[in-house]
Amino acid sequence: MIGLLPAFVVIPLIAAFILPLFGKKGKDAATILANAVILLLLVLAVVAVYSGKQGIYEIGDWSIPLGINLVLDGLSALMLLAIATVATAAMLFSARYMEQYTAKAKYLSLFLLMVAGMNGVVLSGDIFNLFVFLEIASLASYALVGFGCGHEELEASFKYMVLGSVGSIFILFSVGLVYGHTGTLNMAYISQTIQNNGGLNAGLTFALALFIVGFGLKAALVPFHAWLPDAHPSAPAPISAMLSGILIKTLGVYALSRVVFNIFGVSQATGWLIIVLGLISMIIGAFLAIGQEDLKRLMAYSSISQIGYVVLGIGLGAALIQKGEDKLASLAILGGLFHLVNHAVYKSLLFLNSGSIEMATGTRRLEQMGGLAAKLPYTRATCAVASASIVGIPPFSGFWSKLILIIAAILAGYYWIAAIIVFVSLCTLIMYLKVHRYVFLGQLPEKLQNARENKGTMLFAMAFLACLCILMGLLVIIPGLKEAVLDPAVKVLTGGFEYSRFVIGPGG
Amino acid sequence: MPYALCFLLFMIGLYCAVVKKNMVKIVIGIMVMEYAVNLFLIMLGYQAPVQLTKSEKQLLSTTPIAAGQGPVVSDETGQTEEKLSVPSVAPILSREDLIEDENGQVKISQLFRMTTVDPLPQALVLTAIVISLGSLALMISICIRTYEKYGTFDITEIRRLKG
Amino acid sequence: MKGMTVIVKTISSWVKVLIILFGIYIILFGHLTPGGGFAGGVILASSYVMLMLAFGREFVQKDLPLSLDSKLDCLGAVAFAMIAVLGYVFGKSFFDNFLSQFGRHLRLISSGTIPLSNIAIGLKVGASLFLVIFILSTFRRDSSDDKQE
Repeated sequence: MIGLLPAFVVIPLIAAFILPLFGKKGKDAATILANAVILLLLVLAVVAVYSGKQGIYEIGDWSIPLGINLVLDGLSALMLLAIATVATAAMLFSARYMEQYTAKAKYLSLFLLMVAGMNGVVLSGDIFNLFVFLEIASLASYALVGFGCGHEELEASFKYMVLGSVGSIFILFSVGLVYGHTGTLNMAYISQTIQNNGGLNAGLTFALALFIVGFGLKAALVPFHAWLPDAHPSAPAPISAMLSGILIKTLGVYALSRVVFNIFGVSQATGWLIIVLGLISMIIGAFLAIGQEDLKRLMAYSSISQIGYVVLGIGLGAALIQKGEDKLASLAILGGLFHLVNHAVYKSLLFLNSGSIEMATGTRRLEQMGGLAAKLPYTRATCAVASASIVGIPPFSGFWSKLILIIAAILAGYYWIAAIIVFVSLCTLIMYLKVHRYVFLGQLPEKLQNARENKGTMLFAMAFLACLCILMGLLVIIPGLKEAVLDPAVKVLTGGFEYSRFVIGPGG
Repeated sequence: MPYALCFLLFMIGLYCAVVKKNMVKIVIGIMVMEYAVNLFLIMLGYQAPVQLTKSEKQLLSTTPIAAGQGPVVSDETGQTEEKLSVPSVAPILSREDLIEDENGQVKISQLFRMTTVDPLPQALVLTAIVISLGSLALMISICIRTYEKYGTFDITEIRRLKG
Repeated sequence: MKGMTVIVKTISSWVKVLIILFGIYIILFGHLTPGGGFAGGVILASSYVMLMLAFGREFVQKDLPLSLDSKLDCLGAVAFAMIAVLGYVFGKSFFDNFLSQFGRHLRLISSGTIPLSNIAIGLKVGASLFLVIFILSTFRRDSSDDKQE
């Protein structure tokens, strides 16, 4: 398995550059090839999680302080699986959905480039390499947001690109600072140097602050969220699913937690900073979402609110580790990471639903819809599953992750955090009731009498994610699964500096 | 001091990107930030020139990172004894730059260390430049597209989307 | 755009050969001297950009159609990735320099896969940079999507 690690990056990269060669005639062949590549990645990711192998891969056979390495540990494996799952569904969906756009081959190529970039971010063990992959994924996503070339898309893409570039520059700047202070770019060696020096000095603290701002911009945490509500609705629906479902998590949350936990080491201050960012994102995202009249915009704001949960769990973990309560910390981080995976599944499902609705009705305005329950039965059913899941109704996946977060907060004595989690859940309930009320119930407008549901791969993609939504709850209920899938990832974060020992090896 | 100036440049870029109303100026501001960071990275690897003796100067006469005469060391077959007539201008380590310490460990000579800059930040900057080239092209193309649609670069007239 | 005066056209048609040769030199000797795939690729692209300025877009279109250019672009990227994969097939890992035993140090044929990668990068950068500049210059009538590096 370890020997195959570069395949996660190389296969989509090669495919991305082969696809444009097909040209206009080979559109179907290109679609099939892209789907096959993504499926292959899904299989590889499942194998990576299932085998439970961990290790490092040295590119070009250069040993690690000199060369670049790829690291597969529990967290990376979990993220790889999440990326591959969402990408599979989005790719299946776009096979039909993207027929309305021209230049489908270019779309597929950019899609694969984005997947390659995200896989690279997750696997990379070198901080500059992480930046490079992050930029590949971001550039592809900027182009994909502006893909429609309409007014809205271009403006959203420009806004996204300006803020995203500023975030990238901050990250590059702090990479430079880190290199200046530690003399290495390998994440494990940076961490080791920091441990040997006994903590952070002023320069490294500044670098950490820049990292938090940079990754916060990529994750759309609230003070830095301005681009997301424009960018996510403007993209084609499968891309919204990818962006909201997984991109902000890979580029933002994953990178942030990797840097904070494994490289710089947690401290009370960073933990609470992250908690506060998470809480603000939850509350403001939810409030702004309720007022929206645009279906996809509502979902985009809800993404901000949900990413707040994930970040809250991780920040709570960081604060608790510092207090020495490792059990509670791992519970909080488990909640955060589980919510990350859950949110990846149900938010991408919701965005795919919105794509299906938009394709059938030609509008995203809530007040122009209504009574679509009879016309789009499958979309309605899957949307109901996803909404139930995001709100946190018991058998569905969202309930379990929120429950874990609440338990962790209560056991740690932060009752007010638990109260906020419940409160934001209620807000989420309101916004998704609103969606159902406006879209599926009520009078069917005259214009929409001919609305038809799309069958085939789009339906299959939605059904696939809906099944996952229901089954994800099993991850924590069935004992073996949690140990196999989630626990290794949690251990990576709670372990903190164990990461450097793991990568460098016992001798180093 | 140079770092402070570099930071000032960064801040000028940030100011330009945040305050200006013209799309192209925003792009310019972002690029100024990018170059400030590149400059910072280059300065990280810079090493102030040291005082050299005359023979050392001769050795290093071509470029600051010139190799001396002779082939590189990292040869496993050991068949590279032929001396080159012309000193290579390539930035590689030559045999003279390697010394053995008392334990038999091969180390890079102090002279080489003192007279070369750190090559890693240069590689980083090269990569960063390539990336910024890509994002610059994309940004400019979006600016041009928007101009086609609206006939203006002013974001206050364009933006119909509210944050 | 009809192009510039006869003087410019004549000179640039002479100089273009030199520029292309210089670009190829920079690419081929990338592992020995400063330069390499990226720098050489930019020089190659600049020769065509000069032709575009001197003779107009239509002339360059005949010489190097956009479809061919984007194919070259993809070819360069695929070739680069393939060199990495070949390292996996014949050597120990991806990007393994499996040809390093060939050639002699400080000669043209040396350093194993590095010159090959340089050629691939040169192709990729030259083609894509020219593509970007060309598309940006024809934006008003052409509406094809931009590609990024």
